[in-house]
Amino acid sequence: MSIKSEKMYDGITNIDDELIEAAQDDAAKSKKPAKWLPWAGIAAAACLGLGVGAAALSGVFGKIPVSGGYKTGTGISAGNAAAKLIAKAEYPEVPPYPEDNYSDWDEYDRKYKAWADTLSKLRNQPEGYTDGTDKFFTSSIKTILAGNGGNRVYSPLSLFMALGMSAEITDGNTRKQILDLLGQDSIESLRSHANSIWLANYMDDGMAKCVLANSVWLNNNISYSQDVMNRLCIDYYASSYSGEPGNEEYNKLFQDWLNEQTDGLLENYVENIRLDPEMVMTLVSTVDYAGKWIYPFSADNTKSGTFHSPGGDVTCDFMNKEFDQSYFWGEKFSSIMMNLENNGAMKLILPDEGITPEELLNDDETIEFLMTKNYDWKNNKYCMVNMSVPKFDVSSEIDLVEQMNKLGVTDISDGSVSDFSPLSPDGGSGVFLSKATQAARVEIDEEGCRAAALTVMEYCGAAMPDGKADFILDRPFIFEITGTTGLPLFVGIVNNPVQ
Amino acid sequence: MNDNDIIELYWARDERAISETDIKYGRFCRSVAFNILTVNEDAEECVNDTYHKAWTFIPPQRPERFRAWLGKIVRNLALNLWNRNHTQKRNAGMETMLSELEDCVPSRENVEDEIDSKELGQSISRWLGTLSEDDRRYFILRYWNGVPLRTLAERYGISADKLAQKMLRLRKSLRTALEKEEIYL
Repeated sequence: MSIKSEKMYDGITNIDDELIEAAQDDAAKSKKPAKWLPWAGIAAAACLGLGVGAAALSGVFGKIPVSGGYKTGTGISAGNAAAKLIAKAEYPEVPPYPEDNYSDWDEYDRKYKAWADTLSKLRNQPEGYTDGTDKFFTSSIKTILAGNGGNRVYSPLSLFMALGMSAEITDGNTRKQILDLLGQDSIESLRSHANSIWLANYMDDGMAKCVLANSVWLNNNISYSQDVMNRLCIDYYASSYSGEPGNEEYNKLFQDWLNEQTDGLLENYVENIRLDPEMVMTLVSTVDYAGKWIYPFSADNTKSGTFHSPGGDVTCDFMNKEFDQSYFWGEKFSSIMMNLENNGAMKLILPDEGITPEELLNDDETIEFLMTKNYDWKNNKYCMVNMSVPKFDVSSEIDLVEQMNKLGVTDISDGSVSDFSPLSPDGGSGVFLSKATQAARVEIDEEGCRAAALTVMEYCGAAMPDGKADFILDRPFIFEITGTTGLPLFVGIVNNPVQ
Repeated sequence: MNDNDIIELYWARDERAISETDIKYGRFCRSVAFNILTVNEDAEECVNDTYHKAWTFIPPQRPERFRAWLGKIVRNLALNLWNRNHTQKRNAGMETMLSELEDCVPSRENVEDEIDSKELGQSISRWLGTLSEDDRRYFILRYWNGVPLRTLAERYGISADKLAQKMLRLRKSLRTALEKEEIYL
């Protein structure tokens, strides 16, 4: 083909906009559909649990199995002998993403508009609905991911929702400590922010998924405030149930709920979770997340290579590709952002040589970058990037009581000062947070990213690239998965991709 | 959301600009990219690069006709991608289209002054202005949107052979018009 025909192509590209527009409008009147690309999704799940007990409860957390695909769940119906339904959350209905092969153009157009309008309404939350949350995300990421050595994964957004629900069942200084940590000046502000964050992150169209599902499991031997349960249902989309914690059937319903919300991805793990007979209440939050790279890696380009882990070199598979995209950098790091289809993005952050991820998380500029939404970063160049990323599958378990104490939330775990008065007409005397754990797992491959997290709380550097940038993640690095709102769903450190 | 509101989001550096662009024009951009490249992965890459470019160009730019402006970026990126990939014998859509466009190329030996693509675009626009509405639409949809001939024929209820003949006449007409303006490539 000649250069001249390419010049003609360029010339046609530059014909008058008005002519182009008029032709499109005429084309739209045609009854036949234009070519359209298929769309697919890969599922991942995250689950976060919060419990309240009058005595210490046990919790077992381990690696969370993940697999592709998800299905839409319903929920435990009312009237079960072992569990009384106290309040049931109804989720927004998102029309399914329209398939591309409709023979009827108008029908396709109608379905597409219904889908787009619904998502637009969900994303269109009041201005400032994330105000104050950066403070919590920043401080908790720095505190919870601090330490040395292994892989760590943390879900800030899940903890935000769980603590939000905790604030609703506490009062006085106990509540104030939580509000301060979450960067909110009143329970009303928190309520409004949490509700907007929940809605703005919501996605369940059969192709992509990001659902923050919450539930409350009450001990039927205690009295509770129906108003509080209603509040959790309306503002946090939390369903609540009451039953006898030691009862096998009640426990099974609890496990079924977890499996349903995580599409069975956590089955092996959930079978070890039990509602302790001594508990007063258990709150559970799950985040079900599915993400597929917009630009998948080609499996043909995946090659075995060496990753320089702190514990010594390890061999793992590296996914490779070269393409134009935004490249970011700071004083001590370089980064790229990989978009996930209609469902947020993953930032990969490589510390400069000689700096560990843990050290980098103490750097204010790095934290500022983590909090930056999408492409709005001062050092950003669009260029060809030669990228090499290890396939990784990392998990960790974090004791949140200790971390929350470090973050200034102390009264909640001290039964002598804790204030759970809103929880029960009896005043919630003696209730305290006995244990809080978050376990999480994130896995990426050529197709996309899968992630899962589970928390249980129990009461009782680089320089600007010259044209082309190398981004070789062959040493410890940081990752962040953000939803469509840009808020952090998961942040983690990979010290060893195959650990 | 109307185009001005979307462009305001770009100016405000609000990331919703890209998602709103995708909601409103993703389908259009994908169809242009796919028609030219005929490989899903390449088309998807092209469209997402278009959004990155839009984010880079706005501000300072403030396109008056946003859809056409996006489409031009898609076409430019598609050509780059095609040049990168065509040795792999892919992208039949572009091969066919460029092959047809050879007919329009007015050429002579020893060209002294080459015309730039914007001037050429203006000349082609003038020629398009002389056509009937139907012919103008067929030409733009075939060579700007890259709609395959058979699809175009089906869409407008014309036989593919008849449309192919019409296109050949249009290409020759364009060549004559450009030669009259003493435009050579």
